[in-house]
Amino acid sequence: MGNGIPIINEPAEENIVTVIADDLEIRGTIRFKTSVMLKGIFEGEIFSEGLLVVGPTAKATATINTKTLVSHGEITGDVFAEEQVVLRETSTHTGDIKTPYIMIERGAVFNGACTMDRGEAGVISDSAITEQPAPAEEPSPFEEKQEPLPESRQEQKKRQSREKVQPEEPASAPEAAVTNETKGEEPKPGELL
Amino acid sequence: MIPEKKTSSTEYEEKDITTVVADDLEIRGTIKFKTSVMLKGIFEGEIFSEGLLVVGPTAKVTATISTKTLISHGEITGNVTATDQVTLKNTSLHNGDVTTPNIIIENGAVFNGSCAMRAKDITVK
Repeated sequence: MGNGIPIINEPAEENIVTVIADDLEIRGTIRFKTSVMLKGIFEGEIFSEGLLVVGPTAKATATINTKTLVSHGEITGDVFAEEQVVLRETSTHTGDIKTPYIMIERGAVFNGACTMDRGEAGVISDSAITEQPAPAEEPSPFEEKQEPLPESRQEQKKRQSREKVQPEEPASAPEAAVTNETKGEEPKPGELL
Repeated sequence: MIPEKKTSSTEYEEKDITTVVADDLEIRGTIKFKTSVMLKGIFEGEIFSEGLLVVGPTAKVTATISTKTLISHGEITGNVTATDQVTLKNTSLHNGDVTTPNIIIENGAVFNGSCAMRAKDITVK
């Protein structure tokens, strides 16, 4: 398990292709392939095949689909990262995370569910796409008694997943995962379905 | 940086731990302690601690854990409430929810579950 951990390669700011300065506010969708650093306010959706850096001054309210996310700032929304998520010490994350590798530094705040799946190679993106990555709640027997908040979210997801049962179509483009980002869930042993 | 008083160390020395439960020992039931315990074997049940719980790399713990500080190198299934801090080291595997004001997850650790933090309201006594 120690092998294959991606090395965190956070380029210096001047090496990042696009830096969105802190006085810029964006609402909508952004797509990119290389690297973007957000320092301003963003609301909407982010589709990336590369590196997203959320700067310490940034506030992102977004559904994020990326290869790698490094956050120093404030993110509200669900994140699917194909490779890795890094929450630096100044970061605040409210929302669910689905990624094979995560690192959270001391001082970071994370409220949400984390789902990690790194079985065989390829499983990660497959399951994200076909099974819909609503951050599955744990197969924990204690869940119901203890966690009113995740419980109610789980209820919502249960409802959603019932309404939107979809056939499994093995897609491979990361974009396909995005559209499924917020709904559905990954069947797990012990999951309440 | 985070003020020193808010966080406890993530490092420890095995000789400083009051009880070390070796890896050939299997426990089912409830344990309560005030200082520090390192688990290296199999544990199933409930853990109530006012101190430091270390889950060693060989340990398999299926438990509801309530502690001040948790450092895990091993495998934990169950929900954890820590009043001070949770550290998931790079060899650790955690399935279950975590409630704590401070969390550190090292690169390589696996965490499946939800994490609830109210960093601003939870003050460490």
